[in-house]
Amino acid sequence: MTLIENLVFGFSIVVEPTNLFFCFAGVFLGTLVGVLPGVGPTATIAMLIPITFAMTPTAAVIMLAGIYYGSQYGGSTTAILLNVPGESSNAITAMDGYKMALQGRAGAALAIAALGSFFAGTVCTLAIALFAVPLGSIALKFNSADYFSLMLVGLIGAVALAHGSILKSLAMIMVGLLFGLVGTDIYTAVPRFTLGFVELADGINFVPIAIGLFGLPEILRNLEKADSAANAGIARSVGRLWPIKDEFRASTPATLRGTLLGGILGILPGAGATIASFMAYTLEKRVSRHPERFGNGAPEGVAAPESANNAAAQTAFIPMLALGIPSTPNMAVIIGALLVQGFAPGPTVITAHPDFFWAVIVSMRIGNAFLLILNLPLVGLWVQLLRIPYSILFPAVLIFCAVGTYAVDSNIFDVYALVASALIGYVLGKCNCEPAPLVLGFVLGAMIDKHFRRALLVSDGDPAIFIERPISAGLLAVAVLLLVITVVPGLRRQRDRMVEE
Amino acid sequence: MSEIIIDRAHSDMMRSVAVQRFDVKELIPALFFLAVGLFFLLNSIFVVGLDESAAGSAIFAAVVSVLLIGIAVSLLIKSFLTRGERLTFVGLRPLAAILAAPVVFGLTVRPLGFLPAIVMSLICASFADSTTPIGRRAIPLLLITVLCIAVFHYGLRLPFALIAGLNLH
Repeated sequence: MTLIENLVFGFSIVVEPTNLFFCFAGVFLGTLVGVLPGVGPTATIAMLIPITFAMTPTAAVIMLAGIYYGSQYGGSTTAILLNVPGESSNAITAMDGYKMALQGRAGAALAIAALGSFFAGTVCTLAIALFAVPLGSIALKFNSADYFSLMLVGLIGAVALAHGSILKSLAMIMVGLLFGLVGTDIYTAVPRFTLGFVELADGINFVPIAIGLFGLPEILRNLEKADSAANAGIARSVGRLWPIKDEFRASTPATLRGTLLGGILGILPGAGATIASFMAYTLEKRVSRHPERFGNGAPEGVAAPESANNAAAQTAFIPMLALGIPSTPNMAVIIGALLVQGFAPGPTVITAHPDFFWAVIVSMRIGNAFLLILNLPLVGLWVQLLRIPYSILFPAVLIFCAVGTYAVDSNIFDVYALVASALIGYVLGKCNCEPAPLVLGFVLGAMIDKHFRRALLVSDGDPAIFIERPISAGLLAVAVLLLVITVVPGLRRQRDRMVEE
Repeated sequence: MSEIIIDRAHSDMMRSVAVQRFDVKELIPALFFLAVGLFFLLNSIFVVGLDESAAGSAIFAAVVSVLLIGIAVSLLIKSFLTRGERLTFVGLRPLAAILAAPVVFGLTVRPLGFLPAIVMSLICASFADSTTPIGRRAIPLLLITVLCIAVFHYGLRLPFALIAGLNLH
């Protein structure tokens, strides 16, 4: 089938009422989550995993994906109107977006953000369709040694581009890998590291770990902070909801560059929407003839990061769909949701489940169109939601976390696991240990062990197999290079400065 | 009296010096990583067992544990070589309330039913917020209860009785 035929096939599945409903529900929730500071897409996706048990894998990913890229749109609304970014990937948008709002151009800023995101979403959805299929075909030639090396690249890449201390990120990945090994060994059927608990025979449940590491610590951190949204000046007048000709002219090249940069960065493990938005802004400032305008209401300062963060959010699906490897924490949680359903994404999905693959891709097109409608004409609705005090919001979020966790297996052990991981996530978060590498390691732990041991079984225990296979050797070389980049002092200072900025 | 004051000042100074002797933000993760690494390494060696085959069941865990212990030791050393800020926490009451609320739900949903479990968990969670008066919390908590019942009980049809013993499903 040609690309067009595949897209039409995917469209015929997405327009089924159930899938369309979940697509809309996902982007609506994503916008809501993006608008409300203190509620992140990762925690929301984790909380909704139990709800996806009642859905098909296709509908589940359509909804969860909608939450992820929808939150990029929603976060720009608060960044522009309130100077409070809904998500970290919208932080840089606030610099120029809020200034535009104070100058009476809030509507134009919102339109530039929404149109830039829509354009980036359109282009990158096509990129997924174009690149995921050949990438998946290449991956079909991979054997266990190659997969092991690929996952190693993914994990080290996540460290190279993660925020904060490299040692701590590496350690968190290792903790995640070890936690992922708990359970019954698939080769020997012997329980490993279960301490005799029957509840751990199938491994540590993913849902309490994900919710515990992201959801509850976020509530605790927000309770510590003063309610900055209540004190911030809200740009009261949205004004004309369309940019003028000069603003269009200024933001168009920025949108194009942001889309390209974000699209490339989204595929890289560990990069994600946040880094993409910051790098796009930095690039735009460097190429601009009038860099002094940035920070004072430059339309390019809104267009570039918003296009980049949405582009990265879309192309992050390429390694997930084609290889079954998560490149960001959100992808790790979505893969976790599919694994809990017994559905393993990877290169065989494209041929074995083409309905799933093409429906997810087409749903992103439709989801982006929904988002344009939700974020422009309905911006007034979101502004009203910002007035909800956090003291009302957090009990609702907490109960959803509790019910969602317990509903997985109706097992109080999962709730204890939730509380334990929440405490670990909160305390380690205070010590600048990010939870994202742990979740990545946890999702990949069992898989990487499986491929490692299978490779050694095939080679009769000879570790040279990892170097003798050209694909594996190449990937290991990339892993070493990434490690060198993170460790060499000059490059490390550059990375640290970029992370700090 | 002056001796007591001097002693108190001296002990205060000693306490503040003791706090600054190490960086808590390195020490706590170091101890956690060390504990996890040792647990998995010792289990790999003595419980699961490291057999002769390189593809053994615990070999990967053993290798990762050793690396983790190495990182933990390095962070431990660093924590004593640098001085750091004190850690601030949200406070014992909010922490206890947030962590206890899911446990309250899990322990009460079967014996009491979904509705009482939600109400009790919400009450527990609301103790995390000491700034909003109780009266102002009642209506929002009621709305959240209604929302949870609508979504989880009627929408998703979770297999919990609304009120235990009353056969309301």
